[in-house]
Amino acid sequence: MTPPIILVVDDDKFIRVAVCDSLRDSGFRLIEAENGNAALARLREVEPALVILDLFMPERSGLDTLGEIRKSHPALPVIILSSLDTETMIEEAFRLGASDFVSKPFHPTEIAHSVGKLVRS
Amino acid sequence: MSDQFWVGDAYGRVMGPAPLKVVAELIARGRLKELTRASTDGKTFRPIEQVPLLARLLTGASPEAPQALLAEAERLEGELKRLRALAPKQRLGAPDEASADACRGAFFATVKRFHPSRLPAGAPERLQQAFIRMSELLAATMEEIERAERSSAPSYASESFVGWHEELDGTIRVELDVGPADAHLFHVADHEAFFLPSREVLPLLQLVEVKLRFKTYRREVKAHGRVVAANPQGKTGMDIRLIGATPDDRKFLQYFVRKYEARRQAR
Repeated sequence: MTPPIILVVDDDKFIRVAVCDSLRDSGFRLIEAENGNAALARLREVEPALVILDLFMPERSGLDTLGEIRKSHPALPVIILSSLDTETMIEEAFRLGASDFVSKPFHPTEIAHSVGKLVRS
Repeated sequence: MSDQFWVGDAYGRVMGPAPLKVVAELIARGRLKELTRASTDGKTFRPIEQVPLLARLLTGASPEAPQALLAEAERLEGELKRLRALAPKQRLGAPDEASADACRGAFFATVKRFHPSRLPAGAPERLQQAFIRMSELLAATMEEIERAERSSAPSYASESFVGWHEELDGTIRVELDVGPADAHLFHVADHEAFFLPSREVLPLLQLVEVKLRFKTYRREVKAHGRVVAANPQGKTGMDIRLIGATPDDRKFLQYFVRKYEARRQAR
Protein backbone atom coordinates (compact mmCIF):
# COMPACT_ATOMS: atom_id res chain seq x y z
CA MET A 1 0.00 0.00 0.00
CA THR A 2 1.41 3.41 -0.90
CA PRO A 3 1.67 5.82 2.01
CA PRO A 4 -0.62 8.86 2.04
CA ILE A 5 1.04 12.00 0.68
CA ILE A 6 1.25 15.29 2.54
CA LEU A 7 2.15 18.41 0.58
CA VAL A 8 4.02 20.99 2.69
CA VAL A 9 3.91 24.49 1.19
CA ASP A 10 6.08 27.21 2.72
CA ASP A 11 8.72 29.55 1.30
CA ASP A 12 10.88 29.02 4.41
CA LYS A 13 12.95 25.87 4.02
CA PHE A 14 13.53 25.71 7.78
CA ILE A 15 9.78 25.49 8.35
CA ARG A 16 9.36 22.84 5.65
CA VAL A 17 12.11 20.73 7.27
CA ALA A 18 10.60 21.16 10.73
CA VAL A 19 7.12 20.16 9.50
CA CYS A 20 8.45 17.16 7.59
CA ASP A 21 10.44 16.01 10.62
CA SER A 22 7.31 16.27 12.76
CA LEU A 23 5.49 13.89 10.44
CA ARG A 24 8.13 11.74 8.76
CA ASP A 25 7.77 8.78 11.06
CA SER A 26 3.98 8.80 11.00
CA GLY A 27 3.89 6.79 7.79
CA PHE A 28 3.32 9.67 5.36
CA ARG A 29 5.20 10.49 2.19
CA LEU A 30 6.09 14.15 2.41
CA ILE A 31 6.54 16.41 -0.57
CA GLU A 32 7.37 20.09 -0.55
CA ALA A 33 6.60 23.23 -2.50
CA GLU A 34 8.08 26.67 -1.90
CA ASN A 35 5.14 28.78 -3.00
CA GLY A 36 1.52 28.62 -4.14
CA ASN A 37 2.28 28.19 -7.85
CA ALA A 38 4.65 25.32 -7.16
CA ALA A 39 2.01 23.76 -4.88
CA LEU A 40 -0.67 23.90 -7.58
CA ALA A 41 1.77 22.35 -10.05
CA ARG A 42 2.45 19.50 -7.61
CA LEU A 43 -1.30 19.00 -7.18
CA ARG A 44 -1.59 18.30 -10.89
CA GLU A 45 0.98 15.51 -10.53
CA VAL A 46 0.04 13.84 -7.25
CA GLU A 47 -3.04 13.28 -5.11
CA PRO A 48 -2.11 14.25 -1.56
CA ALA A 49 -4.20 13.27 1.44
CA LEU A 50 -3.60 16.67 3.00
CA VAL A 51 -1.92 20.03 2.38
CA ILE A 52 -0.10 22.19 4.94
CA LEU A 53 -0.11 25.74 3.63
CA ASP A 54 1.65 28.97 4.61
CA LEU A 55 -0.23 32.24 3.99
CA PHE A 56 2.53 34.73 3.22
CA MET A 57 4.61 33.54 0.26
CA PRO A 58 6.16 34.90 -2.93
CA GLU A 59 4.40 34.65 -6.31
CA ARG A 60 1.05 33.31 -5.08
CA SER A 61 -0.30 33.84 -1.60
CA GLY A 62 -1.65 31.10 0.63
CA LEU A 63 -5.26 32.37 0.46
CA ASP A 64 -5.09 32.54 -3.36
CA THR A 65 -3.70 29.01 -3.37
CA LEU A 66 -6.40 27.84 -0.97
CA GLY A 67 -9.05 29.25 -3.31
CA GLU A 68 -7.57 27.38 -6.27
CA ILE A 69 -7.30 24.17 -4.27
CA ARG A 70 -10.95 24.43 -3.27
CA LYS A 71 -11.94 24.70 -6.96
CA SER A 72 -10.00 21.62 -8.03
CA HIS A 73 -10.02 19.56 -4.80
CA PRO A 74 -13.11 20.54 -2.78
CA ALA A 75 -12.66 17.83 -0.16
CA LEU A 76 -8.88 17.96 0.29
CA PRO A 77 -8.01 18.89 3.92
CA VAL A 78 -5.83 22.00 4.12
CA ILE A 79 -4.09 23.08 7.32
CA ILE A 80 -3.00 26.70 7.41
CA LEU A 81 0.35 27.16 9.16
CA SER A 82 1.01 30.83 9.70
CA SER A 83 2.08 33.55 12.09
CA LEU A 84 -0.75 35.73 10.70
CA ASP A 85 -2.99 34.35 13.41
CA THR A 86 -5.30 37.21 14.28
CA GLU A 87 -8.93 36.37 14.91
CA THR A 88 -10.21 37.89 11.68
CA MET A 89 -7.48 36.17 9.64
CA ILE A 90 -8.31 32.78 11.14
CA GLU A 91 -12.01 33.38 10.44
CA GLU A 92 -11.21 34.37 6.86
CA ALA A 93 -9.07 31.27 6.33
CA PHE A 94 -11.88 29.01 7.57
CA ARG A 95 -14.41 30.93 5.46
CA LEU A 96 -12.28 30.22 2.38
CA GLY A 97 -12.18 26.53 3.19
CA ALA A 98 -9.26 25.88 5.55
CA SER A 99 -9.68 22.73 7.61
CA ASP A 100 -7.50 23.82 10.53
CA PHE A 101 -5.18 26.66 11.53
CA VAL A 102 -1.89 26.13 13.38
CA SER A 103 0.02 29.21 14.53
CA LYS A 104 3.73 29.69 14.06
CA PRO A 105 5.92 29.08 15.92
CA PHE A 106 4.56 25.60 16.41
CA HIS A 107 5.34 22.57 18.49
CA PRO A 108 5.74 19.32 16.51
CA THR A 109 2.89 17.76 18.45
CA GLU A 110 0.51 20.53 17.27
CA ILE A 111 1.16 19.63 13.64
CA ALA A 112 1.04 15.90 14.27
CA HIS A 113 -2.21 16.27 16.22
CA SER A 114 -3.87 18.38 13.54
CA VAL A 115 -2.78 16.07 10.73
CA GLY A 116 -3.84 12.98 12.66
CA LYS A 117 -7.27 14.45 13.36
CA LEU A 118 -7.92 15.36 9.72
CA VAL A 119 -6.49 12.26 8.10
CA ARG A 120 -8.43 10.00 10.48
CA SER A 121 -11.66 11.83 9.75
CA MET B 1 -15.16 49.26 -4.93
CA SER B 2 -13.51 46.00 -4.03
CA ASP B 3 -13.09 45.25 -0.35
CA GLN B 4 -10.50 42.60 -1.12
CA PHE B 5 -6.82 43.46 -0.89
CA TRP B 6 -3.52 41.79 -1.59
CA VAL B 7 -0.43 43.19 0.10
CA GLY B 8 3.23 42.47 -0.53
CA ASP B 9 6.32 42.99 1.60
CA ALA B 10 9.94 43.91 0.92
CA TYR B 11 10.84 40.21 0.55
CA GLY B 12 8.47 39.57 -2.34
CA ARG B 13 5.89 37.75 -0.26
CA VAL B 14 2.19 38.26 -0.92
CA MET B 15 -0.87 37.94 1.33
CA GLY B 16 -4.46 38.06 0.12
CA PRO B 17 -7.19 38.31 -0.95
CA ALA B 18 -8.44 39.55 2.38
CA PRO B 19 -11.01 42.15 3.46
CA LEU B 20 -9.75 45.47 4.77
CA LYS B 21 -10.61 44.57 8.37
CA VAL B 22 -8.34 41.51 8.17
CA VAL B 23 -5.42 43.49 6.73
CA ALA B 24 -6.03 46.26 9.26
CA GLU B 25 -5.90 43.86 12.18
CA LEU B 26 -2.75 42.17 10.87
CA ILE B 27 -1.01 45.54 10.54
CA ALA B 28 -2.26 46.81 13.90
CA ARG B 29 -1.01 43.69 15.64
CA GLY B 30 2.37 43.90 13.98
CA ARG B 31 1.98 40.69 11.98
CA LEU B 32 2.43 42.36 8.61
CA LYS B 33 5.58 44.44 8.50
CA GLU B 34 7.62 46.17 5.81
CA LEU B 35 4.69 46.24 3.41
CA THR B 36 5.64 47.92 0.14
CA ARG B 37 2.85 47.24 -2.35
CA ALA B 38 -0.83 46.49 -2.58
CA SER B 39 -3.39 45.33 -5.10
CA THR B 40 -7.14 45.11 -5.39
CA ASP B 41 -7.14 42.42 -8.08
CA GLY B 42 -4.12 40.28 -7.15
CA LYS B 43 -2.43 41.08 -10.44
CA THR B 44 -1.60 44.78 -10.59
CA PHE B 45 0.35 46.00 -7.60
CA ARG B 46 0.94 49.65 -6.70
CA PRO B 47 3.14 51.20 -4.02
CA ILE B 48 1.11 50.85 -0.85
CA GLU B 49 1.26 54.61 -0.25
CA GLN B 50 -0.93 55.00 -3.35
CA VAL B 51 -3.74 52.91 -1.86
CA PRO B 52 -5.30 55.41 0.56
CA LEU B 53 -7.23 52.93 2.69
CA LEU B 54 -4.08 50.93 3.39
CA ALA B 55 -1.70 53.88 3.54
CA ARG B 56 -3.73 55.27 6.42
CA LEU B 57 -3.21 52.03 8.34
CA LEU B 58 0.54 52.26 7.93
CA THR B 59 0.74 55.74 9.40
CA GLY B 60 0.24 54.15 12.78
CA ALA B 61 -3.43 54.83 13.29
CA SER B 62 -4.47 51.79 15.28
CA PRO B 63 -8.04 50.67 14.73
CA GLU B 64 -8.14 49.53 18.31
CA ALA B 65 -9.20 52.29 20.63
CA PRO B 66 -7.22 52.69 23.86
CA GLN B 67 -10.36 51.69 25.76
CA ALA B 68 -10.47 48.36 23.93
CA LEU B 69 -6.84 47.66 24.79
CA LEU B 70 -7.43 48.52 28.43
CA ALA B 71 -10.47 46.25 28.46
CA GLU B 72 -8.27 43.46 27.07
CA ALA B 73 -5.73 44.11 29.86
CA GLU B 74 -8.52 43.90 32.44
CA ARG B 75 -9.80 40.67 30.91
CA LEU B 76 -6.31 39.14 31.06
CA GLU B 77 -5.88 40.20 34.68
CA GLY B 78 -9.12 38.39 35.51
CA GLU B 79 -7.94 35.36 33.57
CA LEU B 80 -4.67 35.37 35.55
CA LYS B 81 -6.60 35.27 38.82
CA ARG B 82 -8.75 32.42 37.55
CA LEU B 83 -5.75 30.41 36.31
CA ARG B 84 -3.78 30.81 39.55
CA ALA B 85 -6.59 29.02 41.39
CA LEU B 86 -6.32 25.97 39.12
CA ALA B 87 -4.03 22.93 39.25
CA PRO B 88 -0.95 23.19 36.98
CA LYS B 89 -2.24 20.92 34.22
CA GLN B 90 -5.65 22.58 34.27
CA ARG B 91 -3.98 25.95 33.70
CA LEU B 92 -2.71 24.60 30.39
CA GLY B 93 -6.09 23.12 29.54
CA ALA B 94 -4.61 19.62 29.77
CA PRO B 95 -6.39 16.69 31.44
CA ASP B 96 -5.02 15.41 34.77
CA GLU B 97 -3.67 12.27 33.13
CA ALA B 98 -1.77 14.21 30.43
CA SER B 99 1.93 13.38 30.11
CA ALA B 100 4.58 16.07 30.53
CA ASP B 101 5.12 15.88 26.75
CA ALA B 102 1.43 16.57 26.09
CA CYS B 103 1.58 19.43 28.62
CA ARG B 104 4.63 20.81 26.82
CA GLY B 105 2.61 20.91 23.58
CA ALA B 106 -0.28 22.66 25.33
CA PHE B 107 2.14 25.09 27.01
CA PHE B 108 3.78 25.99 23.72
CA ALA B 109 0.45 26.51 21.97
CA THR B 110 -0.75 28.77 24.79
CA VAL B 111 2.33 30.78 25.68
CA LYS B 112 2.98 31.99 22.13
CA ARG B 113 -0.24 34.01 22.32
CA PHE B 114 1.45 36.18 24.94
CA HIS B 115 4.79 36.71 23.21
CA PRO B 116 5.67 40.45 23.10
CA SER B 117 5.51 40.32 19.28
CA ARG B 118 1.77 39.59 19.64
CA LEU B 119 1.07 42.85 21.45
CA PRO B 120 -1.20 45.15 19.46
CA ALA B 121 0.33 48.37 18.20
CA GLY B 122 0.22 51.05 20.87
CA ALA B 123 -0.48 48.59 23.66
CA PRO B 124 -0.67 50.39 27.01
CA GLU B 125 1.75 49.49 29.81
CA ARG B 126 -1.06 47.66 31.66
CA LEU B 127 -1.61 45.29 28.73
CA GLN B 128 2.13 44.76 28.29
CA GLN B 129 2.38 43.83 31.97
CA ALA B 130 -0.57 41.43 31.66
CA PHE B 131 1.21 39.68 28.76
CA ILE B 132 4.40 39.40 30.82
CA ARG B 133 2.58 38.07 33.90
CA MET B 134 0.65 35.55 31.79
CA SER B 135 3.88 34.31 30.16
CA GLU B 136 5.54 34.05 33.57
CA LEU B 137 2.62 32.12 35.06
CA LEU B 138 2.56 29.67 32.15
CA ALA B 139 6.35 29.18 32.27
CA ALA B 140 6.25 28.61 36.04
CA THR B 141 3.38 26.16 35.51
CA MET B 142 5.38 24.16 32.97
CA GLU B 143 8.41 24.17 35.28
CA GLU B 144 6.22 22.84 38.08
CA ILE B 145 4.94 20.01 35.88
CA GLU B 146 8.48 19.15 34.76
CA ARG B 147 9.78 19.28 38.35
CA ALA B 148 7.09 16.80 39.38
CA GLU B 149 8.06 14.52 36.51
CA ARG B 150 11.78 14.83 37.32
CA SER B 151 11.30 13.96 40.97
CA SER B 152 9.68 10.69 39.94
CA ALA B 153 12.27 9.94 37.23
CA PRO B 154 15.23 7.66 37.97
CA SER B 155 18.78 8.67 37.05
CA TYR B 156 20.18 7.12 33.91
CA ALA B 157 23.00 4.59 33.76
CA SER B 158 25.81 6.94 32.86
CA GLU B 159 28.33 4.13 32.43
CA SER B 160 26.40 3.06 29.34
CA PHE B 161 26.75 6.44 27.72
CA VAL B 162 29.20 6.81 24.87
CA GLY B 163 28.31 10.26 23.55
CA TRP B 164 28.68 12.21 20.34
CA HIS B 165 31.54 13.51 18.24
CA GLU B 166 32.02 15.47 15.06
CA GLU B 167 33.80 13.92 12.09
CA LEU B 168 36.23 15.89 9.90
CA ASP B 169 33.52 16.24 7.24
CA GLY B 170 31.18 17.85 9.79
CA THR B 171 29.01 14.76 10.33
CA ILE B 172 27.86 14.48 13.94
CA ARG B 173 27.84 10.88 15.18
CA VAL B 174 25.85 9.89 18.24
CA GLU B 175 26.57 6.52 19.81
CA LEU B 176 24.97 4.88 22.79
CA ASP B 177 25.30 1.51 24.44
CA VAL B 178 21.80 0.74 25.59
CA GLY B 179 20.98 -1.80 28.25
CA PRO B 180 17.70 -2.70 29.95
CA ALA B 181 18.39 -0.12 32.68
CA ASP B 182 18.45 2.60 30.05
CA ALA B 183 14.95 2.06 28.69
CA HIS B 184 13.82 5.21 30.47
CA LEU B 185 16.14 7.22 28.20
CA PHE B 186 13.49 6.69 25.57
CA HIS B 187 10.19 8.48 25.57
CA VAL B 188 7.42 6.18 26.68
CA ALA B 189 4.95 7.67 24.21
CA ASP B 190 7.48 8.08 21.39
CA HIS B 191 9.91 5.17 21.32
CA GLU B 192 12.00 6.77 18.61
CA ALA B 193 12.99 9.76 20.70
CA PHE B 194 15.62 9.47 23.41
CA PHE B 195 17.57 11.63 25.82
CA LEU B 196 21.29 12.06 25.17
CA PRO B 197 23.21 13.36 28.19
CA SER B 198 25.73 15.98 27.11
CA ARG B 199 27.25 19.11 28.63
CA GLU B 200 27.40 20.65 25.18
CA VAL B 201 24.05 20.88 23.46
CA LEU B 202 23.81 20.84 19.69
CA PRO B 203 21.58 23.35 17.86
CA LEU B 204 17.90 22.50 17.56
CA LEU B 205 17.09 20.49 14.42
CA GLN B 206 20.78 19.56 13.99
CA LEU B 207 20.95 16.41 11.87
CA VAL B 208 23.02 13.61 13.40
CA GLU B 209 23.96 10.03 12.57
CA VAL B 210 22.79 7.72 15.35
CA LYS B 211 24.03 4.29 16.31
CA LEU B 212 22.34 2.53 19.24
CA ARG B 213 23.94 -0.72 20.40
CA PHE B 214 21.67 -3.09 22.31
CA LYS B 215 24.16 -5.60 23.69
CA THR B 216 21.52 -7.78 25.34
CA TYR B 217 19.96 -8.32 21.94
CA ARG B 218 23.18 -8.20 19.90
CA ARG B 219 21.52 -5.60 17.80
CA GLU B 220 22.44 -2.22 16.38
CA VAL B 221 19.94 0.43 15.31
CA LYS B 222 21.33 2.94 12.83
CA ALA B 223 19.37 5.93 11.62
CA HIS B 224 19.49 9.66 11.16
CA GLY B 225 18.30 11.79 14.02
CA ARG B 226 17.51 15.37 14.81
CA VAL B 227 17.92 17.38 18.00
CA VAL B 228 14.38 18.23 19.08
CA ALA B 229 14.88 19.65 22.59
CA ALA B 230 17.72 21.21 24.55
CA ASN B 231 18.11 20.42 28.26
CA PRO B 232 14.62 18.88 28.43
CA GLN B 233 12.99 18.93 31.86
CA GLY B 234 16.10 20.56 33.28
CA LYS B 235 18.32 17.57 32.42
CA THR B 236 21.72 18.45 30.94
CA GLY B 237 21.64 17.15 27.40
CA MET B 238 19.27 16.96 24.51
CA ASP B 239 16.39 14.95 23.13
CA ILE B 240 17.07 13.33 19.80
CA ARG B 241 14.40 11.92 17.55
CA LEU B 242 15.26 9.20 15.07
CA ILE B 243 14.36 9.76 11.44
CA GLY B 244 13.99 6.97 8.94
CA ALA B 245 14.55 3.99 11.24
CA THR B 246 13.51 0.79 9.48
CA PRO B 247 10.07 -0.61 10.35
CA ASP B 248 11.84 -3.57 11.97
CA ASP B 249 13.99 -1.28 14.14
CA ARG B 250 10.98 0.81 15.09
CA LYS B 251 9.14 -2.31 16.16
CA PHE B 252 12.15 -3.42 18.16
CA LEU B 253 12.44 -0.04 19.93
CA GLN B 254 8.79 -0.17 20.82
CA TYR B 255 9.20 -3.68 22.22
CA PHE B 256 12.35 -2.75 24.15
CA VAL B 257 10.92 0.38 25.77
CA ARG B 258 7.61 -1.22 26.63
CA LYS B 259 9.23 -4.29 28.13
CA TYR B 260 11.84 -2.65 30.34
CA GLU B 261 10.17 0.63 31.11
CA ALA B 262 6.95 -1.13 32.12
CA ARG B 263 9.00 -3.48 34.32
CA ARG B 264 10.83 -0.57 35.94
CA GLN B 265 7.63 1.32 36.59
CA ALA B 266 6.04 -1.77 38.12
CA ARG B 267 8.85 -2.00 40.73
